[in-house]
Amino acid sequence: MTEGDNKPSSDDFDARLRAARNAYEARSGRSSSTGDGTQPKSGMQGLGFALRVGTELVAATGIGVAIGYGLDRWLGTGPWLLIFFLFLGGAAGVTNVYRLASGMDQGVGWRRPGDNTPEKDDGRGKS
Amino acid sequence: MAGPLEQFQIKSLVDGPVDAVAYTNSSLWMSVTVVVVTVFMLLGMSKREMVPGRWQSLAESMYEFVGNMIRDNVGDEGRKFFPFIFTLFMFILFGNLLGLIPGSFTFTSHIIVTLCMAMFVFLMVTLVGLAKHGLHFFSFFVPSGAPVALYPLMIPIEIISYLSRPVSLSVRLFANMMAGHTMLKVFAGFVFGLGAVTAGVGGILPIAMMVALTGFEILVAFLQAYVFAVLTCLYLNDALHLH
Repeated sequence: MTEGDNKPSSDDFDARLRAARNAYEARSGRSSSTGDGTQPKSGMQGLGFALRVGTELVAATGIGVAIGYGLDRWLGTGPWLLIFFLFLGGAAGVTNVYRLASGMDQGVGWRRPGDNTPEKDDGRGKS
Repeated sequence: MAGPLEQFQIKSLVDGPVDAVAYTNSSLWMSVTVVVVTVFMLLGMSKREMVPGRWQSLAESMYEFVGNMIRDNVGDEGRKFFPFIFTLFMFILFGNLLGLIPGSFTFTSHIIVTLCMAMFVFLMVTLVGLAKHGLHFFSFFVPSGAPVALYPLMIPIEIISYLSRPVSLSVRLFANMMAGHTMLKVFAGFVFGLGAVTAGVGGILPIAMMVALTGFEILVAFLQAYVFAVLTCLYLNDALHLH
């Protein structure tokens, strides 16, 4: 891999570069990609993944509750918005986890830009 | 003997004009981190040898590591964010590592510090997206391919999902650092407890465990700095290339 070259910023080139790099990594046996995140993980990796899933769930639910509570305080609409946003936050958490597990990794929206973005290995280890 | 959570206490070293403003041990270790990172990079870069020595190789590998991370995850447009992400990565990494020195203070184990950094990243990424795409940025929250009838439900979910980013980003770093350091301290407590009962012999086991845990904590220090930086890259990527 050469450094500091001024490569053209076309998506086509990026895609080819990625393909070449993946092939190189597959050959040299130091694959830096976790695949689609659905493959079985073992030991610390599994624990890290589980911790991360938990964080995502709790964070999104917490944000939902905070929004609902804030709106309730502001509009004085009883507990209803809190309840509504609690469920909405839970749904957002599940969405996040789904994206994490299917390798889309938190990208908002259902498609990733550039269909074959290489997977990041941030789900590994104790994350 | 100090409890496992006492290491996280904020102590004021120099009192400020008001109660809320003070130079604390947390600030002290942040300053130490900045100085150490600066010295590390300056020492590494000062000679500029063709064949790098040890320092220069370390500094260069850090540079290349972050550079590759940005190129892989953001692409060419990410190049101008290199200074930001490099600073972030080095600050967190050295903060984590310096926190492992016995008697030091790990500022990344405080959620206020990590949340502040995560909020800064979040705001910056949002502003970058807004500056680049204008109001088109908000099409970000419209899920593509979903039926229009579901939009009223999906858009709030997307917005909450987006807003939960800084929280999960900061909680991940803070929880990992705090849990690791608490665990180390708890095992250190076992050394005294078991050692006193069994005339010193039983203390060996927890010490062995602590050695393993310390190694593991070094790994976590790297990993968490990496995760923080890589997620920043991913968020930048999302903001720069809307789908």
